[in-house]
Amino acid sequence: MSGQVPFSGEALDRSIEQMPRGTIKLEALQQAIRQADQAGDLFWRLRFRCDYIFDVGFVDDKTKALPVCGEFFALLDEYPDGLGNLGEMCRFLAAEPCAELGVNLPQLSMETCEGLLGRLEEQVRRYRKGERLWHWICCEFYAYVDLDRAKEHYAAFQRSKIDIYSDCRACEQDGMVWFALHIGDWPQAQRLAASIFDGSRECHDVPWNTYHSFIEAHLNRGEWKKAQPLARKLLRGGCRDKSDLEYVGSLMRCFAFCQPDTGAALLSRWMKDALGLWDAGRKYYFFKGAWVLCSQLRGMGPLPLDLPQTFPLWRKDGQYGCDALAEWFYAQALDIAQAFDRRNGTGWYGENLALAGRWIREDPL
Amino acid sequence: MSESFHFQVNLGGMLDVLSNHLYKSPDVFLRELLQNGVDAITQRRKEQPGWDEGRITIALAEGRRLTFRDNGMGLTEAGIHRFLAVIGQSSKTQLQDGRIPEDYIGRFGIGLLSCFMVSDAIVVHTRPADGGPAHAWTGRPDGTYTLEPLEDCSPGTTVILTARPGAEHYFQREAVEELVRYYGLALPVPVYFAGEDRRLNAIPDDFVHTGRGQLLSFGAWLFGEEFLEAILIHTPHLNGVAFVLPYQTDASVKSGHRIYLKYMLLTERGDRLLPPWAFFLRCFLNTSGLRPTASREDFYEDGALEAATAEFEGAVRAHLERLARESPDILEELVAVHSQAIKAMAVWDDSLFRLFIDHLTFETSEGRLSGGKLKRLGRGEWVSSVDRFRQLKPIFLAQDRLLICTGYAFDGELIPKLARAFSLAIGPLREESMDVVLEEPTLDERQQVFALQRAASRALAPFDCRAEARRFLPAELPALYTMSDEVQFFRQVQTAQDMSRGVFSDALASLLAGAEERPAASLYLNLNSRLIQRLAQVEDAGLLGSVARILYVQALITGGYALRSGELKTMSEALLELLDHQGGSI
Repeated sequence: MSGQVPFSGEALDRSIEQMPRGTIKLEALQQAIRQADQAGDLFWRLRFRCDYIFDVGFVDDKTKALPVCGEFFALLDEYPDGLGNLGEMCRFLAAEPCAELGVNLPQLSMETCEGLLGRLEEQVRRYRKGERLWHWICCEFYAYVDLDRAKEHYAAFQRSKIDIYSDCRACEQDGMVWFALHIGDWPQAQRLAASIFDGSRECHDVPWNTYHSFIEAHLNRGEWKKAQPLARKLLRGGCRDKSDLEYVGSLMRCFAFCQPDTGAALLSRWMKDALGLWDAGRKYYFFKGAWVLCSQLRGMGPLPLDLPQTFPLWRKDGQYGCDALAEWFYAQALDIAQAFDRRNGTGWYGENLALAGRWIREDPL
Repeated sequence: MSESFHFQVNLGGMLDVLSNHLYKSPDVFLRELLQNGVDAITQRRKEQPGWDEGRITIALAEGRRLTFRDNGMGLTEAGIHRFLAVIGQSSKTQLQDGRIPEDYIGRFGIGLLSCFMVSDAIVVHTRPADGGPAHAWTGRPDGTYTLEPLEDCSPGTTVILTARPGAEHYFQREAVEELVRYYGLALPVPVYFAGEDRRLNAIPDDFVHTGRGQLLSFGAWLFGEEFLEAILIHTPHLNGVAFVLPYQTDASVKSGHRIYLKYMLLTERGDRLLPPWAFFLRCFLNTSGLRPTASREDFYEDGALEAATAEFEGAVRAHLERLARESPDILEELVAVHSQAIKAMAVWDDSLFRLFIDHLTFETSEGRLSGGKLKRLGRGEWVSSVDRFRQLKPIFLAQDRLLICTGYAFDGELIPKLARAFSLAIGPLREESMDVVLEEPTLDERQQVFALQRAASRALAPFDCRAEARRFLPAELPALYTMSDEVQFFRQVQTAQDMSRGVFSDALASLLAGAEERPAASLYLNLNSRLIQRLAQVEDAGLLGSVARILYVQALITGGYALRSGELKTMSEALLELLDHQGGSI
């Protein structure tokens, strides 16, 4: 008689469900996928993949959803009824993160990005649900590509009914704040943010996303003193894992002007994760912030940092020249900005990078 | 000269503003009634020193009518015109040099209007406690009111509400009792149902002199949870108990508290008052000296609120320090359940870090070890990738070296902090350390294994893998497969692309094509292994290639990696080649 415990998807699911969202849960899900694959249990092969795809973007590099999503839909194409009653929901949950990837991955062609958006749209048409979510994701994507089209999707998003697949109210509110800032409607952004700043709307990503949006917006106007209180709040609660690296970038950018030691500590802490990140959208903010930080510290002597050996400018003595660092970070940020702008056929990222550079040294430490 | 005009206020519109935008739920009408009742009793206590018979009674005609009575100060006719008929005028404002006395709860003069959310008319019977005639005031949502003299009325104020269609629920005994407990549990004035002796809002009089067991029982009664621990909070701005939840909870959970302002429930949410790490606590707190927002549903952010937050942090810290000294077993249990919350705190708070670090545990090559144990061991290396940790764990274990995994939330901050704070020889695993773990072969050994290494590298090239000879423990492990996170992701992308079609296949291909350089994994051949030593003597490159492919798949399985379809196939092919080779030699 074999001593091996038979595979039980239900039992695994129960134990994973109790785990708080985080790296440990993600690992448990990966392990569960392997076990379900080995057991050949179609339902759980699909279910655990769906859970992984949904969770990964909250705590890790959201690009990691893509291969799992490819596997998920390949399996589902082969066995369309493999999820039984959960088919509809899982199709939505899996298609959504991939539809968002165009904002994060400049190496995806416009055709591929629109294909991924189309995959979600297929579900929307098929089940007549999720229209609001789909318009929102399109709005986010086209905001960097074609602002008029983004506004059309935004209007359609507002017209569409909330349903089970809509983002949570806090995320929707935060998204509207972001869009108002994106199109330069500062009063509207402040009005919309009121219910987030007073704590009435919150979730895993909110208010952190909103703080990030306002910090960036303030810094783009040279208002680091206004950004600093938000940065302090974001620092204490929002920097949790790789999915928060764009926040870290904004914090470094802000602290460059007021708390350079904290900025340098953030650079040491998160650099390894940033180097290993596939999500170029987040990486861009990280490198941009690191560039502003190192540029602002120029002329202050070597900067002591604990950077990973995989960093091309790594030094054994841990003493780094700020000029060389600033140059390297700028080159990385510029590469990403150009890749996005090339793909999108616009100049948003290039202009955004130039805007960050405008305030360097304007406000000496 | 300019003319002066008055605004016309549409009361119906105002009610819409109140019910749809200011108040979150119609049930706040009871909070407002309690608030007015308590303030009237407080005022009478002040004006009649020695009088201490204040009480609130509620009578119900279930589902139809609610009669709410306080025996407080009552109103004169002038007071009625002034305070009941003018929105924004509170009898409690401007009483002390333009400031509201600390012991009054209300301040905006809009509370009574909330009763229109559940009743189409508000009837108030009132008689001043210091003498004078009684009156009946009836207000309607259209802004009109009537005032009549009243004979039969004892000192104080009675508010009579009649249920609007759809609001009957709020006039049921069970609902009223629940709302009194919810909003007025901590009120210093007793609340009763008419004709009954059981006080609806009883809590321990003095938490400072209440034992742990009683506090925990109170927590169980109030929140319906068997808490792990009760932390007394007694500071200039705060008075109450923070209860430690018996299960893990998500950091985004901010609600579930009972936070009172001057004994009246203000909010269930703790995000303004409590620090972000307090999500593992459920608090029953009465606050004083803090300012409410207009909706009385949260605190106004100011210096007093900051001070109260700091006081809360200090009280929790002091309690935990005491537990560490006096009841370490309770502390251990608490840490075991809430290690994530505590780790989050310890990252930022040096004193908490020093308090807890001995009890917090970390994943290591020797199992989960506490910070205290790591301090005693005094040396080790950390890796921030969970996968790399898993790959290297058996080697470190066999070599009696300590490897710590910092790939989990907050461990990446805490382990370096531990090393710095206690000057320990614990640092990141650097490449030069890897040379010690996976010892480089000597020149002679290199020559001996050259053919094997070359044949293996050729055989494994299609799998983006290089073969390298190293000497390491345990000797029973012939080959070790290691790959960076990047290689691992590449493997996953390749596997998925093999399976996918259409747009996903295109997207995955873009990812692969976008990489500047295809990273390679390593298969380390162990020179301590008898199998590898034996293979080093074989000259047949084909045979070596077949064995290398088998070793590669074996190392993948040992490492717990998912196999791609080509890898399973290569294993079978390599085994067949071995059989053919054996057959050929017979």
